[in-house]
Amino acid sequence: MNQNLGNLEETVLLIVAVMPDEAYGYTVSEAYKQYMNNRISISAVHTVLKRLEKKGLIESKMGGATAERGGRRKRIFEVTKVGLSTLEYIQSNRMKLWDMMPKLNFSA
Amino acid sequence: MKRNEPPYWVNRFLQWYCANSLLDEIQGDLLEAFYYRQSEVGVTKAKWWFAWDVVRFFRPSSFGKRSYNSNQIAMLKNYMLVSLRNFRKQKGYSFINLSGLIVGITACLLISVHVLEEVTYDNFHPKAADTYRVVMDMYGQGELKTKSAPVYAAVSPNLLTDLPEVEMSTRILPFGGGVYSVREEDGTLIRYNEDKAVLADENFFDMFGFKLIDGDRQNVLSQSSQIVVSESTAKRYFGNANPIGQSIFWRGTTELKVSGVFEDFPENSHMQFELITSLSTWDGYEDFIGNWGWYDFYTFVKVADGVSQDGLDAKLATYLDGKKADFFEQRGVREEMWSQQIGDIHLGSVGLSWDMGQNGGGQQIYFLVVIAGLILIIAWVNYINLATARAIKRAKEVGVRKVIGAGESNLLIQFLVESFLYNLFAVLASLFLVWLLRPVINSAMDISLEQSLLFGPMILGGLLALILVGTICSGLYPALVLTSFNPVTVLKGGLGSGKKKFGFRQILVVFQFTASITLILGTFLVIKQLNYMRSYDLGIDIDQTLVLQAPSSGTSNDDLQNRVQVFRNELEQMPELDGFTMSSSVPGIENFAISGFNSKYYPEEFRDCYRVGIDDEFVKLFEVELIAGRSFSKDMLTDTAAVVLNAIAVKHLGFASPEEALGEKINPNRPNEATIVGVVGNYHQATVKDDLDPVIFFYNRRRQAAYYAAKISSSDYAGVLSKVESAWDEIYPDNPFDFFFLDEQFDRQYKADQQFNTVFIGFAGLAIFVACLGLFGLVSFTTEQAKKEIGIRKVLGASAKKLVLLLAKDYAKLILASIILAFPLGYYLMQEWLKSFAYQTNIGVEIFVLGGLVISIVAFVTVSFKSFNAANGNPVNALRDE
Repeated sequence: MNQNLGNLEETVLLIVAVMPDEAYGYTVSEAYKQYMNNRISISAVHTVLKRLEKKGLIESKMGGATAERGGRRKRIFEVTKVGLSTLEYIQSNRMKLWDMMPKLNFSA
Repeated sequence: MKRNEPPYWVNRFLQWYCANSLLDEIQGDLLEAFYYRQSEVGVTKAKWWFAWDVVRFFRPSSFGKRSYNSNQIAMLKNYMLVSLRNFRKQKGYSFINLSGLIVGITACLLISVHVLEEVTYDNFHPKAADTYRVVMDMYGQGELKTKSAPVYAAVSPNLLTDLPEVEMSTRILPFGGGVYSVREEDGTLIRYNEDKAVLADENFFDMFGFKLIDGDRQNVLSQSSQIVVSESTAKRYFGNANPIGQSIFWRGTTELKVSGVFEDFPENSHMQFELITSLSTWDGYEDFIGNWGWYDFYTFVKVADGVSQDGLDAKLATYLDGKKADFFEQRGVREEMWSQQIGDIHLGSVGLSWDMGQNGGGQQIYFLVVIAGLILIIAWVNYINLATARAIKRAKEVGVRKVIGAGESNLLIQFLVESFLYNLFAVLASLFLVWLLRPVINSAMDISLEQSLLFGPMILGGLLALILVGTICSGLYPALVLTSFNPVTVLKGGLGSGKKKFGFRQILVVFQFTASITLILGTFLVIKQLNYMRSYDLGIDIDQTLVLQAPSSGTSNDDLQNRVQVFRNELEQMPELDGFTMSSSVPGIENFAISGFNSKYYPEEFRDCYRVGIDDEFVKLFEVELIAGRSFSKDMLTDTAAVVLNAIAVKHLGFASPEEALGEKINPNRPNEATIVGVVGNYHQATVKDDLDPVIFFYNRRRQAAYYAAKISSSDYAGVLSKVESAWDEIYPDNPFDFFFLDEQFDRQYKADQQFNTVFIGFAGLAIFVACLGLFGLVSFTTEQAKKEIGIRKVLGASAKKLVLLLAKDYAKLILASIILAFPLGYYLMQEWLKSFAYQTNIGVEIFVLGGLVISIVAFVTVSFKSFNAANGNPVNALRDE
């Protein structure tokens, strides 16, 4: 589990993980905008997805075409087992740190 | 929802660059985004967004692997390889082709650099586009009399106050010449006769882009008796000492203080000054502002931003009417000023009198450009000819390519690549050649081709364009011919001697030779005209004449006058010398002295005549023809109020004949009245390129002479010179001994013509060479094609002579056609060219005969050289192979 993930990569990986069968370039960028309150261009999303796929954290298959897409098919991404465990690993590490957080009372 | 389409061209662009395998996801995502964004942000914004996204996706990862090892690149490599193989395989043709191109482009390059230099004269001044020289046309009786480069002393300051358009103005007075001397600490006197010396207004260095090395820009010319000198002049006078504050004596008596040093003027300026004295040094400077009579001042103005030349000219045209109305009316004259942009002065001053510098030559530039273009076209035509001729050899290659599946466009590209390689290589070789030859050409032709220009953006950009144009021009036709072959016919061997495409090639050859013959005719005419001018009877004998610059440095006029007598006596005693005369002007040097004169036929109107001051020996010594009356005599005391006219002046002042003029007066009933005692024949003051002018000779007027002339009767020039010089040094230790031989000096006026001749002949020669090269290539090709035919004819008993004639016959027709075309064309062009000369030689029959003969011989030698080889070869060799 020594994958180094950047901040953006981690977020996109998470988004792909929470959107089964729905994650492709456009939806990921929309979801990013919705949850992170920040815009990201579709070309940037493509780059990140390609990189994650190369690292084996996600895999892709060609999905169906729709009229909105001008008849073009979607490349739908799904998180792999490695990807899922990477996310869990990151999360558990974070939780360890959170558990160690001293209980401070700022209201006092 | 209404369906909006994303921007069409942007979408097309995306589809073009995007790899097909990625198109689904990339285009799909973008279209989907566009679809939903329309309702979110509006159609327009969505479109822009789409476009921006498409730009963002324009990166290598979207291109796929298509462009990396695609078929096209591989084919391109193959084209180059095949081109190089062909080059090696047919060394002879390739060499002819390439050397023709190289010669053509080299000639073109040389001329371009020269032309570029000529057209960029004086472009380095601050705001050069807004800097103008004010010149004027002078009319008398409504007729244009003279175009004068200098204008009145008062013009400059008055323009500055009267016209709001004029922001700055300055004057240059070209009368700074004479002896300048410096006394060294050890007492030795350094003296020079300077002719590149002028006086100028104080803002001279603000007006022009000449660089001041030493001295304060504002103050170098602001006071009287200040002088600024060039770097090299400072070195001449002061060596390595600091020149600032030193004294220089002008004409012996005027002491000038050096206030600054300027960098030597760049060569691409029509102004070439070495010493500039402050104008306020001139006696009477205070009155210049109201002096509307003396017009020897070159006047430059800088106008405000946005003022057009037309606007300036409109004001200048009527400006003098406001200042000199009375004068104009009284004398029936009119003067109109106009402006020349400073950059246009060098080439655009034809016809202006009293100009400074070597101006003019716009017409020659035009001729050179035409020649350069012709040579280049001839070289390209060579390429076309040879490439099409070779097409038969390559027909099989084309056929095989077509059978394998090459389309027309592939083949077109192949042959364009080939011509691109030829042109590219030729341009590179020419660049190298010119760089190599530059110093040789510079010294041989006495011109300067600047390296900085050669490798400047203009030339390099032009060469790039040349490669592209050349590729298309020379490559397209052969490529079309080659691709048009029907593969089946070709592979069956049906394409024989290539006679089919001979029509166009014939036309090209005729074109080449028409151009060459025209150039040959031009060459003969140019030579003939120069010889004609040089041997033209000037009306004055300038042979064997030694001319000395008269001394101008002395303590007073009397002092100079006394010393002249001594010097004259000394020289008259020398047996090697034959006569001695003093005059204000000699032929071959421009005469600035001109004024208006009356006669009884023109009591009110002033007729412009040149003034020349001579002594009693002048007419005799120079063998000027005496038509009527007598020359001046030292025994006639009244001759101080006598004049001698030349024949043109007689007519100019209204007299019917020389005899009638005798005893009449010029300027009758005026203080400067004088009696006409003699009439002499016209002689040419300047080259015979110019017309003859009316001249009035005065007897030693004001006792000033600029030149002393003596005839040499001995052939030992060096001995005579040293004798004269020692006499001079004894009497004039304060004046430099400057001399010239009059015939040489006069001939120097033809320097530009001589240069033009050399250049013209050289380039015409090149053009003919290139054309013959092409002819040679073509002949060797057709001869080789007909190798078997010749062999069979020989076996059947044809003689070598008959065979040569057979081969040469076709070409003889072409040359004949060229001659028929070139003669009338040449005649027309030659007439046009001659029009610029006042005295024209005739375009004789001999020019045409010689021209036709030369081209026939050259062409025959070229053709028969190869055909003799073929005709004399052993027919067995020709018939054996295969």
